[in-house]
Amino acid sequence: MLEVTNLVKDFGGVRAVDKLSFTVEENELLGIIGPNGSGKTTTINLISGSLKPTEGQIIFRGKRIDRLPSYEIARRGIGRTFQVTQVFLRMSVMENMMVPALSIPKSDGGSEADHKMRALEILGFLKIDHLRNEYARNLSGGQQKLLELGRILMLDPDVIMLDEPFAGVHPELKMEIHEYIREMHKEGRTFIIISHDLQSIFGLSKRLLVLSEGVKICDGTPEEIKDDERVVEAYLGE
Amino acid sequence: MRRYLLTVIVAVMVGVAIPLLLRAYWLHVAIMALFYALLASSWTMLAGFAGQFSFATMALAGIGSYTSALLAIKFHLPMWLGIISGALMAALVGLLIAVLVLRMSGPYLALFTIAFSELVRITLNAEYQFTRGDMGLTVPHLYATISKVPYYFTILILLACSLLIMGLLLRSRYGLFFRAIREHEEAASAMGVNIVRYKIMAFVISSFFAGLAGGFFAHYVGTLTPNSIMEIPRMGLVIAMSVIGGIESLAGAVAGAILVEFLQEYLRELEMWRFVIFGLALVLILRFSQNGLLYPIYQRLAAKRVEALSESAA
Repeated sequence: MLEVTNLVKDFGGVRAVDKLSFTVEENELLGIIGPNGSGKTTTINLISGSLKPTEGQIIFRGKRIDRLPSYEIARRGIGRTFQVTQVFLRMSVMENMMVPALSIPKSDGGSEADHKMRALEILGFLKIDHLRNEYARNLSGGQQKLLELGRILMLDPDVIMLDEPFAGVHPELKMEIHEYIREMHKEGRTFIIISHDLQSIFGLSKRLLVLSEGVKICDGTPEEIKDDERVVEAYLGE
Repeated sequence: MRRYLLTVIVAVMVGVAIPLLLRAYWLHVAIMALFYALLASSWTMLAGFAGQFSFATMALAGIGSYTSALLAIKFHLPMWLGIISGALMAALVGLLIAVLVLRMSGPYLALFTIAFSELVRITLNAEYQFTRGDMGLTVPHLYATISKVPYYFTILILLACSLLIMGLLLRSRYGLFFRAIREHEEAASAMGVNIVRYKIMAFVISSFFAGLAGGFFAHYVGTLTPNSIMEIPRMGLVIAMSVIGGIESLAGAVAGAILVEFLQEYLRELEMWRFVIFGLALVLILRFSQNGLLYPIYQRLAAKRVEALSESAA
């Protein structure tokens, strides 16, 4: 479904991602872990089109996407959240939800009324439908994370990339987010999740990719990763 | 809807009654207030909604005014055609600016547009053989009468039509995209919004209305100098009008323009003290009501609109 081949990203003299290659299969739940500065967020930024790679290519459903603008990648079915939650603060929850729905060209999407119905369904699924008229800035940090997740669902993406979805979240809400991810995964969506919360990511993922200084050092099941010396060394050496 | 209709009817009645109530001098002030209202609302659309903090509005109005004036003087083009051509020329220049500033934001965008504005102003001053520079270009008046009433109704209709178009645009999906871009460009793009297209759209449309205001100004005042329309302090005045009225509301921009223009003239009798009082009023408003005097009212109306949007979906 998604193939990343020899991906390189340089920022001046610093190489953030170094010849990174991996594939993601349909309906997979891939976790990406690694110490700070290992290139996890840069990888997501490259896949989502926020950054352009220095070298290498990204193929999604058989087509190269690494030179496409991020709005085009989003329309093709790859949605993402941000490390620091990025909801549109001076817009209502409902307006936040309508942006991705209306950004899809008319021929591909439903009517505005359909989009509103769908937005309410998603907000209901995330249990924040009672906040639909609130300005996003009035929401708590956790509620903003849910709104960001809900906003992605309005794009109806095949691949959802979550950047630190559990950071700064209350343990109860964290469990809720786990459940939402599991449910959406059951529905057939593919996930790529970056997290420093090892307990969560080991519990959710079927496969993990470990990065260190921009290089892939390990790729395997959570059990394989736990016993890998390179991973232990990368973390202890942080 | 009923309340909206009532507001429009009251606004029209007040608008029509104004020439009957005001002497010529104050009618001139009203015309200038409406001229600034058009500029302030076009700036509000660009900066308040799309988040593009440009200082080029007055320069674009200047381009509109000089295009219209020169077409009338040199090519004897009908004045209305000249005004439309001026607005289109401003839109074209707005397009050029938009392309050049696509990757700029905040202070860089502001500095770029200030530099651009000065470039236009100084060029028009320097090309005095063509523009007569500071000596002033004598521009034919729109109407062969000394009465200000036709000018008042002209700018009133121009403003009403412009507000209608901008209002419809901002209430549509495009307005939603403008605001999403203002909030966070990268997130808007990740939500499928083509930020390049909509930033350019905001610049071009805003520039068109600035140029339209400029064209009217040229054929109203009759004498045009680059300083009479393009000075940076005038740009500051337009921004102050928008901010005082409420940066996220077209109606706020109009109210701010009318308030500031009339306040300026009313305080003129106090000579130098008017600047002190006016400055103090600005400072107090900016300190205690950053979103403008009308923002609390606007927010209540917006909340009701959002509620209606959600209710209609439920």
